[in-house]
Amino acid sequence: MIRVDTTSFVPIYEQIRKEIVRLVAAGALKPGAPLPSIRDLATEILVNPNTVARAYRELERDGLISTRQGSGSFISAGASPDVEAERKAYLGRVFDAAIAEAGTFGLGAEDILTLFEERLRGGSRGSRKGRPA
Amino acid sequence: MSELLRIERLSKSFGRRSVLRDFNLTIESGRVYGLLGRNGEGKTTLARVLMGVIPADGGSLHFKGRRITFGASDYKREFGYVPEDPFFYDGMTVRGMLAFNARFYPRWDGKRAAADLDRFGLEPKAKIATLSRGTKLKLELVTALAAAPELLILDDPTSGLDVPTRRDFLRDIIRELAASGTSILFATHVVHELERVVERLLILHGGRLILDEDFDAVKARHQASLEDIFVGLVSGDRK
Repeated sequence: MIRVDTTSFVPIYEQIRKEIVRLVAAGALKPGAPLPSIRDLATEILVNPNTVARAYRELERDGLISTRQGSGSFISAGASPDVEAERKAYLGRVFDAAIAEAGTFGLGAEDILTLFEERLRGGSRGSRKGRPA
Repeated sequence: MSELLRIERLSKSFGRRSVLRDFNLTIESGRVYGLLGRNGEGKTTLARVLMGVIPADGGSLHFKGRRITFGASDYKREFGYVPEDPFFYDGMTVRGMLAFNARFYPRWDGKRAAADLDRFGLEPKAKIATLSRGTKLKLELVTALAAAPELLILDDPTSGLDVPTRRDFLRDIIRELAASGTSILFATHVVHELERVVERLLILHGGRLILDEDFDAVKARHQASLEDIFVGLVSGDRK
């Protein structure tokens, strides 16, 4: 569920933080949903428990999760107001990466828009698979 | 975080070959230190001097603020040590080896050793001689952890092991970190495993540390993978 890329230049705690924010924004983690314990998540994704703890601390500071003594961490009830902004920010990063890639092929705004519309309509996928009429 | 160990101006030569010179390192409690260096740069020498296997030529050592002698038994008991090429009495059984080690450690936790044997699937009656290299490594780790160490020194323990065994070992280390918060000095040349757990990056080159910095800061500054950072810092300027 939570993925980290150890070869990325983004610190692992920041990747974990972003992954949890993404899962909340996507609705996969709803307010009240329990998070894995620091120990369980660390052994599952094979990272230092201190790194997971740091991600949880930052999420707690931002009010996205809350920790109850003895019963672990949960997605906060008030976690929803930021969802729209986080969703925009996350998708913005995905689009930015795609636009930067398109730039390396020398594509302009018009070309990118055309390609994007094709993808939205499923045009390119359909033609590649030779979708029956 | 409090200071656990402070090494100052450590030097060690073999004949005319100087391996460590003016080596300084402070280890805080509860942190993972990743020690990288090319073969022959002195990673194993450092571990052996700390464990008193070989004497230091010069330098000073403080453990929890108290001046101590390199290799003195009172602080060595607080360390767990998993060497690259551990020595085993082949004729001993797994249980016999644990009983042998238990006598040297005042905080030895026999219950824990038994539970770890079970968890790792180690047979107490098995003869050491019959164990694979991977299984021996697990036995070394069980032994090191049963001593409830404040510092765990891992000297390239997974070199020569297959990927699944190395993953298992890493998972055990992470479990231990979560359970006890021990400090770890992890000397290795398997860079991508270190990337998962290292908090403070140490690079040994020319007998001393040419880098001693929080890993996240190193990564942010270099905008490169640990492998590229390491290679960039240690190649070409010497030898």
